[in-house]
Amino acid sequence: MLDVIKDFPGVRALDGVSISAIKGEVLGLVGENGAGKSTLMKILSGVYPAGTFSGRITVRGSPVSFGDVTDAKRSGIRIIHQELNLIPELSVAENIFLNEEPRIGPWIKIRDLNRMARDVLKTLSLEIDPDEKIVNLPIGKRQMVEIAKAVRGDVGILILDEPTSALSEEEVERLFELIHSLKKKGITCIYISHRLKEILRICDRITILKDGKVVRTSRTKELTHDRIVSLMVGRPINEYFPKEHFSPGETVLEVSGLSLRDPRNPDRYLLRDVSFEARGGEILAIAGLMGSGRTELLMSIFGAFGRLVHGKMRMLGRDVVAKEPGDVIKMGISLVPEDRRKYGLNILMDIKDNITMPSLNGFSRLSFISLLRQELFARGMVERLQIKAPSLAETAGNLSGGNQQKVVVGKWLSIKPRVLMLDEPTKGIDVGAKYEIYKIMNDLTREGIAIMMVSSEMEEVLGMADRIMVMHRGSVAGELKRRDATEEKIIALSTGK
Amino acid sequence: MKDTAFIRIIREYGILSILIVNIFVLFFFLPNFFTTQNLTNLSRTIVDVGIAAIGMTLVIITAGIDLSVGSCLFLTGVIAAHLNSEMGMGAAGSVLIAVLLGGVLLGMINGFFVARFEITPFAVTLGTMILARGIALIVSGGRALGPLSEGLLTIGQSYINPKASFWVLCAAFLIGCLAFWRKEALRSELEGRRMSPKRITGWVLLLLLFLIASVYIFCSHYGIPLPVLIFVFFLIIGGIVLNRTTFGRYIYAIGGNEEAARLSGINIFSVKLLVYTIASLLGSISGIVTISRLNGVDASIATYFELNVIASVVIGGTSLMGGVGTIKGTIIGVLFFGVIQNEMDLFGVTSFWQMVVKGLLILFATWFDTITKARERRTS
Repeated sequence: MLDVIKDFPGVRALDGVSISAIKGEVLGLVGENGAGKSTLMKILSGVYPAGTFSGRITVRGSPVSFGDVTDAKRSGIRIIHQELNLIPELSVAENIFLNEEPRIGPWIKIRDLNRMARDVLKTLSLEIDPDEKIVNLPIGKRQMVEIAKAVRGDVGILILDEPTSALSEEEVERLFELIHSLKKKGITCIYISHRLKEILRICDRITILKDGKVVRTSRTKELTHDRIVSLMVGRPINEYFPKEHFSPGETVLEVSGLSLRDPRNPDRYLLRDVSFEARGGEILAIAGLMGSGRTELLMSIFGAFGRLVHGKMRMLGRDVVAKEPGDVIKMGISLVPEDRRKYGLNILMDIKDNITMPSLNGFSRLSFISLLRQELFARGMVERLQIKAPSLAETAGNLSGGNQQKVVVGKWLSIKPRVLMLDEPTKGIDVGAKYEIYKIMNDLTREGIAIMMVSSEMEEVLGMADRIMVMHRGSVAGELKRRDATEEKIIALSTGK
Repeated sequence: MKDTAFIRIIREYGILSILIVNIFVLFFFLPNFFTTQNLTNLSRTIVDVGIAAIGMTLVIITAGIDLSVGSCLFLTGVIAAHLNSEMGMGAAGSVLIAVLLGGVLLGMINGFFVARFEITPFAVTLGTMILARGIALIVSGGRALGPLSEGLLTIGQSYINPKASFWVLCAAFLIGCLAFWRKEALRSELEGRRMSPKRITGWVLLLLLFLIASVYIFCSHYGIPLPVLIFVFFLIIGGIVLNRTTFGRYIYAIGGNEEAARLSGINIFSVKLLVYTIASLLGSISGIVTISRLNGVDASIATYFELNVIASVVIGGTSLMGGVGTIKGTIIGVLFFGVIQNEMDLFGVTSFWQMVVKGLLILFATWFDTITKARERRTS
């Protein structure tokens, strides 16, 4: 793959990237969130068709051009996504040969199907019953089935995108064995992961991406964990952060021993023994790579997982029982969720009702809403956050991303919180709106509110946080003070050093 | 954004304009539609569906459905008729027991299964629909029950005498003016302007029009039928609940985005439980009105009733996908079907053809619902 350039509106996602993979090797691909790994793989697997990017792709010496995903498959390129694509109610064999079952007329020849599936599984030395339904398999085995499905037939290149993110440690070992056996068959694997330890173990060579460019491709032997981290980081900070400093006040929220099991894979912990405290007037950033449990941590504190969460929480010296969000909101804890359209807004409702939704009881007597007080409050919030809208009666769905985000922030300020949790507060909004959100955060810390912010943007974390807690695989990997924090240290902690 | 505003107006007023055009056309082709006798009759026939439609509106706004409301009407009617005519219980007692068993209890069962176990409302209410009808048939033995006692007949058959009706309507007119005055005062205060005399006159004229029309219909001969008064009472309550109470806001919040509503601290369970209970309660009240009007109950009443109710609500602009809908729209939907039914009767259209026409109208309405919704989603 040579000199690939891919532009998205306003962003150049890939800027002249060239990578190559040798037959039978495992090539590791690393980079920060947003470095361009996923975009690159989408081009390689035909999701972005030829013509939407510039550059050449060569498979086994001959140039190819993919109009769609099927073309890429025909050239022997398969991709395993983080989310598995199996039909849960069908059997292993039916999934492996989906749409290509041996048939007589409309009838599937079940016996032949199972025999063929058994053969496929045997060549990969997998011990899975082809007749078993997918729902009855643990996640690790499901992934094996997905791989078996992908490598059946003529496959040259297998792309694995964060394959271990949902696996327990034992399952990771079994996956590695499988990858070794694929190598022996001469299949090339491209292994994308945030987990540098795994990359260093399994890959023959490693390509490091940064801001849409290849920084370095080296043999694994020539690289160390530290070296990779230092290559991944070092971007100049080109955005302006209006950070103001305040002396942190008393501890407002104290979390100890918080754990959460994955409801879909009970062997795995989404959160394991997380303890920390948040202080008033301070911004605590929660850094970490995707899937490290940051969102789950905020959601757990907020009571969204109910009884699945174990651990203790104290708010201003009082125990918090977080059975459901309502309990937590009453204590003065707010959460601005990551996916605002899914969890934050009601896009059919107007701005006024969205803003006052969690605090509606405060504007009503005997459950009759005082429209006057509700509207005056909403108007005050719109002015304070500078939400741009024709009127308070405008439907939230009609607003721009930045203004929608401000509505959600306003919604969560309406309960007059002591703790404000922000999950990717500036994701998908323009620079101007970002700056305004940062200023709002300053105002709030000045008022003595404790802010916890999850962010994948390194500059944002370094630019706004007073303290940085780094998470790795559901645990706290370390904590950094603002003056000690560097991008290298954060990456090192979040990749499990 | 212009587009959506336009679509919203069409959503809210599209069916209304068809209704108005329809009534105008009747001026020329069917003058006896406008006799006080016919209009009074019309007002009485829409009441059954109308009362149940108020509850159904709440249910559908939460993105749910209640298929059991027809069986709820039937069951309540059978229990009340059984207690009243066969066991000789008084009107008040039999109504109370029937409404509690056939309405409140059934609704709580619906709500509990929907809210607690997160079973789709379609499946839950399909089950209770069959269940309730079965129980009702056991109680009645499949026979027609009746006649009912004098007291019970009062509910569905009596009229407020014309003179009293006139004063009732005048009072309603004054209350309407007052309500608008308050609303306009609030708006003007919020927008920092003077009250607009133009709007006030417009509104008063509209109310006056309603007053004249209703005086014409109700005060010249019969008076206001009691069931109509009951219907209007619940309409007003329904409107206030949806627009002015926290519970009403929560209903919209759940229908628009249930997950976001949960994360806003709304107790989804209790809101849904209450919504389904209210729906069945109103269904059972319309059951009492129905049997009282018919002076008894037989196994054929309330067939397809739930579907008529749902059709009225949906054609009134309430979205089956949830989150959108008004009581105002439901009134229009109920009137729309009521007028069409009535004119088809007067024209002598057979009941078979009436079904065909109704079916086509429902198809049209749901199609309309879907495309306008899709447009809104796209533009947003």
